[in-house]
Amino acid sequence: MLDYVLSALGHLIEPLNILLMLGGLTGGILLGALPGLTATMGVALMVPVTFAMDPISGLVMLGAIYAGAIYGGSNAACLIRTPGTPSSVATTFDGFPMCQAGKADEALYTALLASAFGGVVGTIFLLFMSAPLATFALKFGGPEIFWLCIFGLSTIAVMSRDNMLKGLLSGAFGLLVSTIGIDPNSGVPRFTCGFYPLAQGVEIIPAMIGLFSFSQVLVLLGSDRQFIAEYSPSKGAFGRVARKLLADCKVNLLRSSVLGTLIGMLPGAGGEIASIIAYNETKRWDDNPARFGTGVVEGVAASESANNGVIGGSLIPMLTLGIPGSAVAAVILGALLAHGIQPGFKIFTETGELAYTFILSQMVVNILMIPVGYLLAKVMAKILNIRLTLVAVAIVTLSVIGSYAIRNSMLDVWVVIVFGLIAFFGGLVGLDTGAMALGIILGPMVEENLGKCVHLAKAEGSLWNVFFTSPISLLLILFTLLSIATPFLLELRGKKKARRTAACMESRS
Amino acid sequence: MTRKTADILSGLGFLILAAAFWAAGCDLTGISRIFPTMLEIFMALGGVALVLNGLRKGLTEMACEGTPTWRRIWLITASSILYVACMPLIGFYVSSALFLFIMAMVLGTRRDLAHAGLAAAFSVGLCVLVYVVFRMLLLVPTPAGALF
Repeated sequence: MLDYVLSALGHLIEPLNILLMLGGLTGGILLGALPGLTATMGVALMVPVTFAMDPISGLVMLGAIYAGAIYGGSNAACLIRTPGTPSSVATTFDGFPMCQAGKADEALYTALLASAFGGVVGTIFLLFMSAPLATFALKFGGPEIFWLCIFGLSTIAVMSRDNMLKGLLSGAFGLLVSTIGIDPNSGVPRFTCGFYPLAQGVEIIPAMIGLFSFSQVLVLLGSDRQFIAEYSPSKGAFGRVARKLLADCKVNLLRSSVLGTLIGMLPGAGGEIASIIAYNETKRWDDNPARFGTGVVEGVAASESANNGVIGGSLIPMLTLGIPGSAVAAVILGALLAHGIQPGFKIFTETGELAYTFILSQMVVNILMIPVGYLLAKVMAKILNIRLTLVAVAIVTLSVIGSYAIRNSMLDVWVVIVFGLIAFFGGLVGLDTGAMALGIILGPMVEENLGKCVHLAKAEGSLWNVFFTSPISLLLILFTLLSIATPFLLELRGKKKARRTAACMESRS
Repeated sequence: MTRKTADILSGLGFLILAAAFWAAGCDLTGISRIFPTMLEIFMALGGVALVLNGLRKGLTEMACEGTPTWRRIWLITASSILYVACMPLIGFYVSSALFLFIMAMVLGTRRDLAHAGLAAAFSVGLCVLVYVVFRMLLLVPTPAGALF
């Protein structure tokens, strides 16, 4: 291993590879910041370019685009409440309120440092724990993934503590929306009302753009503001954020990054699920969960470290088993195969130089992300100095083209408008947009795996054996129950604390 | 808006949505029906609970950031719908340039020539930027129409 690591380090200090990493990162960040242009699209577009390159350089560049795009999504999420990529949905929860409070630079730097940290943690797991983790990931079948999704959905209980019923109903509506189109289990079209394009279903990204971006345009234009937020860059913001993360967010960053890496390993479960789960876990264990959603550094840090942790996680089964953990990993797998490299455990021995260069390049990319992202964040924050009316109409146009770009369908453009209106008017009556988004994201996975479980149960003759006997399933059920019970337990704890404080005050007086 | 009204309206909304999905999927059978039906029942029951909850509640105000300017909200909503509807007819770039220019003029506080110039530069500039990034660099197609 050491020989490969040393030769990998040699490759990484080659000027061409450094240039490719910097270029890939910059391109990836800009791509990720544009709504509708995803990491998958960016990496897929650049795969043909790598054919003219040495495989090592090509892979290094693709890895840099991947990391850059996932981080880049946070810029739009913080500045205009538009998740640049689906992975940054949870970043909007606190990133945008921070921006509105005049702390745009702090929000952007938090996202940057947390992303770099999450990426490094994911790479460490990829470097040292590939084999055992890949074996663990293989134990996740239909029932385990079903329970993981249910665990993800249970976070609605934490998300909507103020009005859990509305949160749960919003989540159920999201799940119901996700059933539109071809049924993943039987292939029957559902809820299409005879309209053929609806057979493809409601695409996640346009729905997210509508829920978070178009609805925000309506909110912003409905206010009397002249600008999205007051923004004057404060001196020493970067250092302040770094110190805050070091002092108060160590556990949060580590937990979220590890969660991201572990979730990233599971095929189908990507950054959007990881960041929402990590955000909610951070909120759940905080002393004052009510402050989340009002613009706290911890919320942005949790979401961003988790979605960048996913990168390392998704590459683990891709490199060791040839099973991609995400859509981008699948494209990178295609690039590997096109270069004649066969993934599998032998990749670390037969093409060890390439494998270790790729893995270590991820480490370097995440470190380089800090200066590159810092410079780009300064430029992007300037958007806040443009008049609100111009920014708002530009968001509408970018939302339109971003949603159309996903699969060249006008249906997706209409989805943006419809979901924007649902989120805006729903928000007026207290519906939870986040829960709705979670339902739309997790819906297809829940149903597909529920179908698998039902088929398995038919074959085995026992529903109980399928759902409730695997140790991983039992653990996930336990986590789900804890997750649902936590808001009630925290409320009880709060009441007890209040009673104790009142008793103390009484005895003193 | 009062919490009472919000609960009743949202409850009715969920009831209507559940009924709409129920009606649209009444011909489904077998495994295709199980998951949506479970959700429809949950939404219907939840909707009823919200309505009942609302009827019991007093007229307490919901926390909100202030009264929105409805004229601007309806304006951007209607123009966005018109913009998207026109797109397949006249093409993305022409419809976008028109939408951006008209909205920048209508939503702006000034109506003078200088502002019109700024609005025109903004609309053309953004369309050119989208053309360069999406069409030329990333080769992503944009909705085509009769004009461009």
